[in-house]
Amino acid sequence: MDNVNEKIKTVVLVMMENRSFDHMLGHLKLEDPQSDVDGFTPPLEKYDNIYNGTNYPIYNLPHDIELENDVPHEYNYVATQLEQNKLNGNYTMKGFVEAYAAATGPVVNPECIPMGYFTSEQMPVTHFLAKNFCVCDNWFSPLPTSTQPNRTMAFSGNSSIYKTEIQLIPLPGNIFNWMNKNSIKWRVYHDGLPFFTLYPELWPYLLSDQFRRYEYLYTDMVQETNENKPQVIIIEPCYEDAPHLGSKHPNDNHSPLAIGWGEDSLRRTYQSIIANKQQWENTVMIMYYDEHGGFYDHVAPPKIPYKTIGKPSFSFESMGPRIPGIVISPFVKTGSVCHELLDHTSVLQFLAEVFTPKKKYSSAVEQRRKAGIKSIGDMLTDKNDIDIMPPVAPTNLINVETALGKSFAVSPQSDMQKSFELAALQLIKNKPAEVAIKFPELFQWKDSKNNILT
Amino acid sequence: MLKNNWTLNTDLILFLVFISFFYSCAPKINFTASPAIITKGDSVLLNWKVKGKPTLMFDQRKISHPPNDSMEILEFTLSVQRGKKEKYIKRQVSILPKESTDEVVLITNDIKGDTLIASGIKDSSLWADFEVISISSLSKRPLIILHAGRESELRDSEIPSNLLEGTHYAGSWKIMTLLSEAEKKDHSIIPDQLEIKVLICPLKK
Repeated sequence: MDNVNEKIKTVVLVMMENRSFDHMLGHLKLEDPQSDVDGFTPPLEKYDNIYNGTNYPIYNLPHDIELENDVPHEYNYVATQLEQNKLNGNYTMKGFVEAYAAATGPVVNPECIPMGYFTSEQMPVTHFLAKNFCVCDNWFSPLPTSTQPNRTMAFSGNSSIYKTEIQLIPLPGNIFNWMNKNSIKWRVYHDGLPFFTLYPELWPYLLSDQFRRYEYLYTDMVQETNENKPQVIIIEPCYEDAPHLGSKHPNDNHSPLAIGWGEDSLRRTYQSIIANKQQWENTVMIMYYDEHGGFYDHVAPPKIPYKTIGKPSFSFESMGPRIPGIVISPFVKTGSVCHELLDHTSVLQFLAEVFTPKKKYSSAVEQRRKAGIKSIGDMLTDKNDIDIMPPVAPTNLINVETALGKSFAVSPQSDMQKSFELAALQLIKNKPAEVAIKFPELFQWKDSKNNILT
Repeated sequence: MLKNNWTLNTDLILFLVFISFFYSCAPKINFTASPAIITKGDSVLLNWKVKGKPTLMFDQRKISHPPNDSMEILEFTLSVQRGKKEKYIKRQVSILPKESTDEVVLITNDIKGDTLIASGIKDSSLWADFEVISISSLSKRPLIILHAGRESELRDSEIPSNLLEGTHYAGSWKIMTLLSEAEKKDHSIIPDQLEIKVLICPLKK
């Protein structure tokens, strides 16, 4: 493993929002019973949730459309979702419908939103990544609570907060200071306002050149010389909850969003990461979610406690529900599954192993390692069977529809739309250097149009 | 200073006007379908109150629903458009045969002496129009069932009991069973839930 770590030159982190493992990847086992993934297996009745004496089964969400509403996932609702049996102490994972009812009112539909799951057809990119790289089926969010504390844990290894509320958040031991201190080159590519805006101590970074618009990712990967390339790249999606001007659409997969937007964004990110074949050979990309977002998962989280470092502190008895995690790299076996116990601090452990081999990330992360949480590095191998040429992501149009069946994704039809395309192509041809600065996203658009990415 | 305050207040008012305008443009929906569970031939009453242009869509399909292989549902989707915004609410109505099997599943939540107890309420907003024909066990252990002031013992999962026949299906249920010697020593192996199978039919008026 040390051998592998020495070969890694670039680590890419992509953290999406609010989906559980079963909701996104439970289908892997259902569709392929030979799969080693801990997903859904018959009889499916065993996953039923109980609310007011009635069973609510898991079900395939029939369409990828925006959901009627968000699903509750604050710490009090998560406690209901885990539903700890007071006699035997087990987390039964039977309270997702009850939590939903507590947040949205009485449940009447037998197909209750938190029990819904997607199939491979509905998520071509995530499914492609899962089938070609390494799925982590034992990756839990660090805390049984919502976005802010879990993201804080992810990027510092500690948290002074225990719930999401209107607040600006301290980030002790943050990853950016750690990288600077250890002379690790890094860059954040953000699609809209980054989540890191919520941490005032990061504002100097946020306003610096190291936070760069997402549209530059592809051209930077293709054109940048090795000495300028960052060793750690953090991709920030366009957040559902951040302010939006104009028609730019969020793609962080936060419910109630349709996941098609996130799928398209993941595809663009993957295409960018593999665009420079030489760099790809030494790259590890980690796609993970901050927390389960209130969606059902059948695996009870391990009882690894955590006490927040805020005053007053707050104690959690366990980790949060499982989240989807996929490690995308030439250093993993095709279609492999990692069963090691992971949480977001596994990424911090891994970064330290790669970039500061003789030094741990922090005592807080080390404490979690001693509690049984492994490193991402544990699944990497250089005895892989992945070709030097990375697999090509599916290129089909990802169709996001409204409840009325109106499609958001259509190819240019009108003369006006075709004129825009013609003008963009001419502009790239005649003024490539200027376009690279002003409209960098056009290069990825052009390559995808010319099938260079296929 | 006075001017600054005035500017701030004006900005605040303009902001609030903008926010209220923004939200007043959003479609609004209130939509119900009742009853939520019917038997074949029954009708469903739909009520809605919307702000915007409503479109009602209807679908009838089968869904997986234990303990039966599948259950038929009527699905009504009311979508409302206002300007460029669209919002919808989905209401599903389950269609049961004249006699059908359902489950009462209760979380174990008490121990009295050597008896394990699971108790809870079967939702009256869903099941008020149904009554019990018979009950049978889904657990491989003897059970005592308390419901509607009656008691029934289930010793064998194969043999249904008619002792609760004619009682309203909705309401309070209690399932009790003796703890095994192993469970008495180790509470971590106590089952999370106790359940029974119930044959039900619409209330006989």
